[in-house]
Amino acid sequence: MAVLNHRKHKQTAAQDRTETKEPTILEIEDDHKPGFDHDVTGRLFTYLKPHRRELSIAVVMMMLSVITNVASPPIIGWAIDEGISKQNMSVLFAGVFAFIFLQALGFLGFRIQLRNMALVGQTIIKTLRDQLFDHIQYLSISFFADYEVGRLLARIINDVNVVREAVTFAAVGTIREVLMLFGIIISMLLINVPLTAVAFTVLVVLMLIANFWRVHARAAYLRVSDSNAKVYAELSEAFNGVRVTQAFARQNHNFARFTDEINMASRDATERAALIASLFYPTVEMIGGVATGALIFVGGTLVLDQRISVGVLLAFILYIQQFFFPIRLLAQRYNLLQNVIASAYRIFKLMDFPADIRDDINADELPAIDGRIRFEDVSFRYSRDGELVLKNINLDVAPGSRVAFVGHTGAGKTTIVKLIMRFYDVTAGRVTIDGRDIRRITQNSLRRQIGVVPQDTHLFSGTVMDNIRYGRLDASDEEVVDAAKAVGAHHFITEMADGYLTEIQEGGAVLSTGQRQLLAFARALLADPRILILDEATSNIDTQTERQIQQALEYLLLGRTSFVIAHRLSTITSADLIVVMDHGEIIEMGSHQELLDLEGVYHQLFTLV
Amino acid sequence: MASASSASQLDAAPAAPNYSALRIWFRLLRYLGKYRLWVTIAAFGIIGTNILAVAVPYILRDVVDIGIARQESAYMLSAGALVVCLGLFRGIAAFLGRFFGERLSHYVSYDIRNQIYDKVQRQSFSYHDSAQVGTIITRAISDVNEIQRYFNYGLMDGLNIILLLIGVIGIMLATSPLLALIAFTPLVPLALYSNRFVMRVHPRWKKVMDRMQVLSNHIQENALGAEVVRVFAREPYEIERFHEENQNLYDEQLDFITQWITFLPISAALAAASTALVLLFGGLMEAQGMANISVGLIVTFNAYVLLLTQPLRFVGFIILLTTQAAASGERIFEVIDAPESIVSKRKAIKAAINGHVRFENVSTQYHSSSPPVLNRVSLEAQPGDVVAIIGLTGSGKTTIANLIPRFYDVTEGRVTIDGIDARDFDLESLRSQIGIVMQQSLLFNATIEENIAYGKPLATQEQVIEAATSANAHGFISEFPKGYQTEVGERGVTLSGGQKQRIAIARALLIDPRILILDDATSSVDTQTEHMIQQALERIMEGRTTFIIAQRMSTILKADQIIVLRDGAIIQQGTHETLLQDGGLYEEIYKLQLEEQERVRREAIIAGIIKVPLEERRSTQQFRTLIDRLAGKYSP
Repeated sequence: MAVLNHRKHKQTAAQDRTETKEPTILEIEDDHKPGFDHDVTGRLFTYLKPHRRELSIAVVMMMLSVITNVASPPIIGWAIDEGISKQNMSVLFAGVFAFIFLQALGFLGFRIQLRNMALVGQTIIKTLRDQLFDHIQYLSISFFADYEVGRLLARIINDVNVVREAVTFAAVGTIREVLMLFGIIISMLLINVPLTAVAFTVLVVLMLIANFWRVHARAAYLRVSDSNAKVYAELSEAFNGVRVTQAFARQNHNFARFTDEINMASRDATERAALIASLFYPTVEMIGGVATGALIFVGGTLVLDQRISVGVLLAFILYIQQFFFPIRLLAQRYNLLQNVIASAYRIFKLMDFPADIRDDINADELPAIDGRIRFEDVSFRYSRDGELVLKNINLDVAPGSRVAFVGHTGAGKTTIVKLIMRFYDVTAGRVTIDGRDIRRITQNSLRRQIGVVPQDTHLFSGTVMDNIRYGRLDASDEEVVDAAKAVGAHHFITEMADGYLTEIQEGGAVLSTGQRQLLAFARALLADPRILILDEATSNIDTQTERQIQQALEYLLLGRTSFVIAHRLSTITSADLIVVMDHGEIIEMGSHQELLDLEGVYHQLFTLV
Repeated sequence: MASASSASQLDAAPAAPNYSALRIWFRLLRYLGKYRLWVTIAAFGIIGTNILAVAVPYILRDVVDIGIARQESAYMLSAGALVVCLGLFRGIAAFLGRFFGERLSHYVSYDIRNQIYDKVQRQSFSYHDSAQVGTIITRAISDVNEIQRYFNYGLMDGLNIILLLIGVIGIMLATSPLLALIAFTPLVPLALYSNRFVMRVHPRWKKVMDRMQVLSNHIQENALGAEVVRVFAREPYEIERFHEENQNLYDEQLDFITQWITFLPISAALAAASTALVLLFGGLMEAQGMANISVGLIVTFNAYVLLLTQPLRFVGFIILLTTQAAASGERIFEVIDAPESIVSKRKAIKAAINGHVRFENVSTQYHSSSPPVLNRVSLEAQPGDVVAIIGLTGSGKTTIANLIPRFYDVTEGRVTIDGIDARDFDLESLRSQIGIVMQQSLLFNATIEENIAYGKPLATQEQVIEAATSANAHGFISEFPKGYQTEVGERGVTLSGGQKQRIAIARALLIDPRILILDDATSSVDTQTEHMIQQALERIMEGRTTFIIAQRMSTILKADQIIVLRDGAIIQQGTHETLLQDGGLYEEIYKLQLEEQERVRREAIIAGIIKVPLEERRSTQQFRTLIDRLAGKYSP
């Protein structure tokens, strides 16, 4: 019921936000238009700043390797013309050694460049991941209602990976390729102008083609990723729902739909992308062939006229081939960069997304408390224009007393306890602990003194021991075992093969609901909070475990101020204070006997059944 | 090496499926069989590209040695024209090679994905009990992609490189064996080094993947447990752990990249060494006046070496792809080859059934080593009977229900329907006549109408509405703005538990089954909804053989036959009256159930305050009278 309740709030919260035009994080993410965004690129560059030294070295090394690459063809040409053709061995040796020296220098530079780029790239993605994760720890609970886990993973894992490409290989690579092109053109111009004109024509044609291709390739790849997402969704649904499918004997129908529609669409999209890619590269090669032919004709004629040497012609032919690589890479990179900008945009927006609940600048640490809680005229709504979920709540809870909240789904029970933990801030009035407004104290110091046992127990992967110890990290093994014993969990834990060292699978699948709840009790007990908030589980638990949980609960609540969203009759009747809620208001309040004597709604219900 | 290890494996464990890298590789190649024509076109394209690529430097030699040396400008023109023509043809050939190569890789992944989908859909429940959806999806997506990449780059580019190597090496050897051998000397260490590189880089790549997995698991847990983290104020601890894991990933990644950083320049340097050697020794040989060695030849050889350099750098990458493809292939074949335990017989019976169900001495166990889940169970239900199955958790109630549509097979004895063994029926025919409402109502990501029509996709809208009306679902469905066209969110999140259950009931009802199986779980719905569901259930049980795993007394009271299970055996069987007279577990359960029901009802009403429908109150009263009466009757 509480789950439903929670979801309902989620929906209303989301709706209201759209009405007040406060964009949610999801809307912000969707808002991004493809293209270059100077804020994003500028911000990306700030990540490069601390690595100026490594990057400058990388760029210098890269220039070095560009220079060696550009200089090699003329040296080979020279060695052939002056050395081999003229039978001048010392020139040949000089040429070869110059070539070897340049290449060695180039590779050394290449290596240093790669090394620096890798270091910078990895450091930046590590920083980005750390920053994202840190920020998410700081965000309020309302954020997680909107943002699914898959999305979060996509940000921290995939988007960050995409960005790495940009800051290292793409950024440095682009400089490299542009330099390479300029280097080639300049050295061509220096060697021979007419042949450069031929080569330049080829270059322009290539660039036009590359640009044309870029646009089409992008559209095609977007379709591919779209259709892949559909395949993924279909597989996930089909495999999760396989029992229903078999029960209704629908395998053939589903299979046909998969092969003929979803999987087929994906195949067609990839095929189209393949066609576009296959057209581009051979075209480039074809032009390469044409250019070489033209060079042979024009250059050959020039050689015959004695205007240039064979070596020059050869150098030009080598240059033409060096042309293609950078142009091809630049075209690919342009599309890559667009993806990078989109990824970086999402990363930064997530990083900038403000927490709803922030610590006041002058917030104090909350000292050890007695546990008196007061609600003073508290009203609350999830968003500015939303309906009031709580109306004028006044509640004074003495230290050590037990409060049970009773009321139907949506009455505001869950909201009240969330306000105590300050998962949300009140709209009007105030909540105080030992007389201090909870907005004036730090969230951490507040929550450290509050324990919560939610309806569904969340366990972390790790051992049983680790999970109990989550309540107090410095607890010794003995203290953990004591806590488990106190709530009656020791028995079933020791019955498992590895006892306290049993690994809990993802989502805690190996334990029953009841057992998981007992672990949550032990965890809360170990934390030893002054205030305890408990959302009683409604799911069916067998009678024996039920009894155990009841006993553990008694022990756990002993001597603490406790707030229980009650579902069990025994919990309700044994509370010091029963708060009956309806539509966000307290309609009756008192002990079981007082409420019965009151002969109001509570009495009516209780006697009616 | 691979075949040797496979042989020894075979000797050691003859029963285990044998997945040697070589076998997987050949088996992957078999997927190309369907696309023989395309493979041929691609191969011709690649061969053509290479021949044409090899030809250009050859022409170049003649340009230098003949055209220039002999001052023939006409030769220049024709050579230029020839190179242009070759360039055009080469473009066409390259297109054919590339496009058909890539195309067939996508078609193969399409085929493999279909195979996996079909296979997984047909696997029995026991397979799905132990299989993890995430793992299978990873195989159908990532591993298939890996295979696709292998066919596209690994195989095609591998072929390309091999052909190029053969072509270039052949021509070089034929033209000048000595200079060729000199040019090749750096290629030997390059090959050895590439091999060593792959050996080193592969395990590191795996480590990176593992670290990545640790990181994403942490993110998942952290987000799912966001409340717990905040409640215990564990943000600093979480951050510290994450930074540590992130640092580990960083270290592994750097280690992995370092391999590449070393490999790339060294392989490039070795290739450049080839150029230097050709220049130096070619020059020397030419000076010595050796036959065959001309300036043009040196130019040609240099062009050839250049032609080889680029692809040779990819050799390491291709070997890596091939190793990864073998690993992916193994994971895929594991899914595809998993035996299907429940299939229709060759001459399976397809017949309309009446609904006469018999269990004859049925025993089942899920694994040969585990204790039986059902132990010699016999029961009989006449067409139209309502059989209520009760018992504690784990007593085998759901197993009985699962045996009728043959989701599992019996280990001993037999289940018959209309006197025919369930195993003799055609699975599809049998299951399409059995309606099932499971404990958890799983709906699909489609409209409500499509969900209701899940078992009968061709149903008319009237039929859908009729089924929904009988299931008490029409009311809330028509209240949605889009009515029956409302999209059910992923895993049905937009609907409440009670609404989902009623849609599931409508879905079972639409196929008009002869046999109905109801796993009656209404624990998570409020009183009013429970009442609606109750009504719907009663309506649809009429005239159908119904097996109901009962949680509610009212359902049990109405059954023609009640089966009481304990530890997989039937310990009591009969109608409510006869069983009460027998005493025993039934009586105990009955009392407990009533007590429990009373408690739950009170709690539900207190929790649900105010909203107690009048008729519910009345029925509660009736129960109380019943308890009083029974208490009077049975108390000493």
